[in-house]
Amino acid sequence: MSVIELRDVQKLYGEGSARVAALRGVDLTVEEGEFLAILGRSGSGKSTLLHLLAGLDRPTTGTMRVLGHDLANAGPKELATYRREAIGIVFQSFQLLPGRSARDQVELPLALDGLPRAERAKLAAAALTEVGLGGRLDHTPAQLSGGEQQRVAVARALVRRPPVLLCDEPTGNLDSANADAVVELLVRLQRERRCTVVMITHEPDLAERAASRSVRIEDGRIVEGRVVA
Amino acid sequence: MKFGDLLREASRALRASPSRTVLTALGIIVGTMALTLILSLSLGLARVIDDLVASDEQLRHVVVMPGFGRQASDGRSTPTVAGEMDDLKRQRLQRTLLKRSRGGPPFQMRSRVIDADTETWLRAMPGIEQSRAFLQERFEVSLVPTGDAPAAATAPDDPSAPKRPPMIGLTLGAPAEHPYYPGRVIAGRWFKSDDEKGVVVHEILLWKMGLTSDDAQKALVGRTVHFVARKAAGGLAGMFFGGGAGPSNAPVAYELDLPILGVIRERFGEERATVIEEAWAMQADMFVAQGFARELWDKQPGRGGPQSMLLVARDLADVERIEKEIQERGLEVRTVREAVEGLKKGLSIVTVVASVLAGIALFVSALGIVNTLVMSVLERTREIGLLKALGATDGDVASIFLVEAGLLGLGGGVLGAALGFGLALVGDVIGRRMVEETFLMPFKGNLFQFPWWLALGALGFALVTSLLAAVLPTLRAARIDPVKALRHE
Ligand SMILES: Nc1ncnc2c1ncn2[C@@H]1O[C@H](COP(=O)(O)OP(=O)(O)OP(=O)(O)O)[C@@H](O)[C@H]1O
Ligand SMILES: [Mg+2]
Repeated sequence: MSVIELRDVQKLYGEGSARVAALRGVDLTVEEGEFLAILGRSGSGKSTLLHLLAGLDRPTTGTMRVLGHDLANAGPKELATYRREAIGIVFQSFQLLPGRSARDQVELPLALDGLPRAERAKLAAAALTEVGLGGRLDHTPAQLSGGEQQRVAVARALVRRPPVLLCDEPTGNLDSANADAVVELLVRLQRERRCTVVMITHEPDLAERAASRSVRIEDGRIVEGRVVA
Repeated sequence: MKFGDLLREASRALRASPSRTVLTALGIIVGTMALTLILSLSLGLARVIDDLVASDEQLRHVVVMPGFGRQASDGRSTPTVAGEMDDLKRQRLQRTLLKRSRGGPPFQMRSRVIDADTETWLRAMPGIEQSRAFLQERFEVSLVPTGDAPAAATAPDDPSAPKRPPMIGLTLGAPAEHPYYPGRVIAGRWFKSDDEKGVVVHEILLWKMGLTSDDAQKALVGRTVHFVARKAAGGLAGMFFGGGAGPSNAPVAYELDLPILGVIRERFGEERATVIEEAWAMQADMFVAQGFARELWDKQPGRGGPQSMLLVARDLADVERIEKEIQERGLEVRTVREAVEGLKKGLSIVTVVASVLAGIALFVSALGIVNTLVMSVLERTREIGLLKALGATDGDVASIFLVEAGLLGLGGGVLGAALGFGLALVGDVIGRRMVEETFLMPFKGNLFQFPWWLALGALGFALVTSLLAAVLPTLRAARIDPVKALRHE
């Protein structure tokens, strides 16, 4: 059963002469348990596509179904529910809250769900241990390396055990050693949890190592698909 | 998100920039404090006014004094002012003519009394429960020596001795039945009837005579005082000395001896009194019974009615009508009711103005809240974007900032109300002294009233103001586009 189904998705930004077509008819199907890498040059529309998949924005035209949610026509309330229940997101720039402990960062999504504090603490500690930061629960972002920060972000994205994980260049801000570690972590977690991962990157060898399938976006269109091993 | 988490988030945000939070809260604190203080003082003052007069019959008191009347002194009817002019000018000129018809320079003015007809009319007015003429008289007084007691205060008859001016004493007529004079008698007794021929001497007169000790004053009861009344004269002297018993060089009108019935002391400490009685008794050296005082008053030829009269209305609702009728007759009227109403009106005007000023203070502090929240939203744009990406609804985001504003309002309100309460306690001590000095009456109540609903109301007002101030920034936060917010630096 396909988890993600996009048909002829277009996204236009701006008005009149400033009009930009970021996506010009994307067709994409992702099956359950796939690790999909989306490759493409800067400005090709990768982030735009990911934001649509994350329910943070809606397509101008086209149909989008993710886990039964009609994202093209959903209202803000349903989109919020979708984001809470269906997905986890990892950003290139980590998006950790300054001055808060790793535990706080990971507890945040659970707090939004209204979970009791004790349960939150237990789940957050477990998730941080899973990404190898069991000893860094009380460290703030300023006290963590870039790789560690991104691992906190991964723990935050996965603490709710979402069926779909979306990553926008998760290694873009990391040196190669740290990038490798994060990618290995993502691969391991995807195997253990059998979730579906969509990862954006512009490094083909990274895609080759991690993903079960890669697609390339050029100028707002998906131009080639290749199954990796 | 749970309310506890919202509170934690909000207080964390407030603690993140302490100086900004303190400054914002300070505005609310000062505004709330000012508002509670003003309302508390206003409530207290209204209570003071009520306590001082409303509790007794004083509101039904009407004091009548002679006016210029409606008729010229020659008895002819109201002078007519002919010619083309507006009503106001005609009235003004009419009054001028009336005034001038009273005579020339002040020394020739007739002493101003209520004439006999008017007195009769006043006493017969419908709705009057009681009436009393205030009769003050000026005498030269001396103690009549007795066989066993030496003449302590009388001048020696030796013609070669230097002539001392005679001692002057003012008498005031007072009824035998009186709410508080009898209670102030410290030796002897008060009058048994309104016709009793005797005198109750004020301790101050005895002191002036050189009798300082209580024993010496007590020994005086039963002794005789010699009174000399000079012929009444008009003019200034008459105006100043109660109806015009004459100066010491005027011919003697009559002389009489009266026994001392008792000694009365001044009002003191916690004792109550009525405002009008106190005003008349202020200069009294002696009291004579009301009916007898009238008898003495009429001994001076050509006097007519009294200098002033006190009417007590049966019904408070009637006072205004009575006042008006008397005014229409050309007399001057003073009432406690009017004075109280004036005070209350003044008080409410002051309260409204002061509350508006305090309201402006709160409004300005509300602008401070708006500013603080707008800054807070701006600074946390990325955070808001992240929260939304993690599944926060617009409502979740809005409630974070509403709770933040609510905390500011509640904290500022509590501190402001508490500070207001503290200052009210201090102000009470200072203000109480001022009230007692102004009204010459003991004052037991609180000058600042601080009922629970005022504290709660002030708190509520601060909270509501803060929440209203939060509406715009909160909407702004809720509408933030997460995609843009996450790009925000
Ligand atoms: N909010 C927006 N308003 C107008 N144009 C936009 C907006 N967001 C993106 N675009 C445009 O859409 C196109 C695709 O942008 P997108 O961010 O998806 O690229 P990308 O593939 O993620 O690039 P990069 O690799 O640099 O992150 C770009 O030309 C960009 O300028
Ligand atoms: Mg991008």
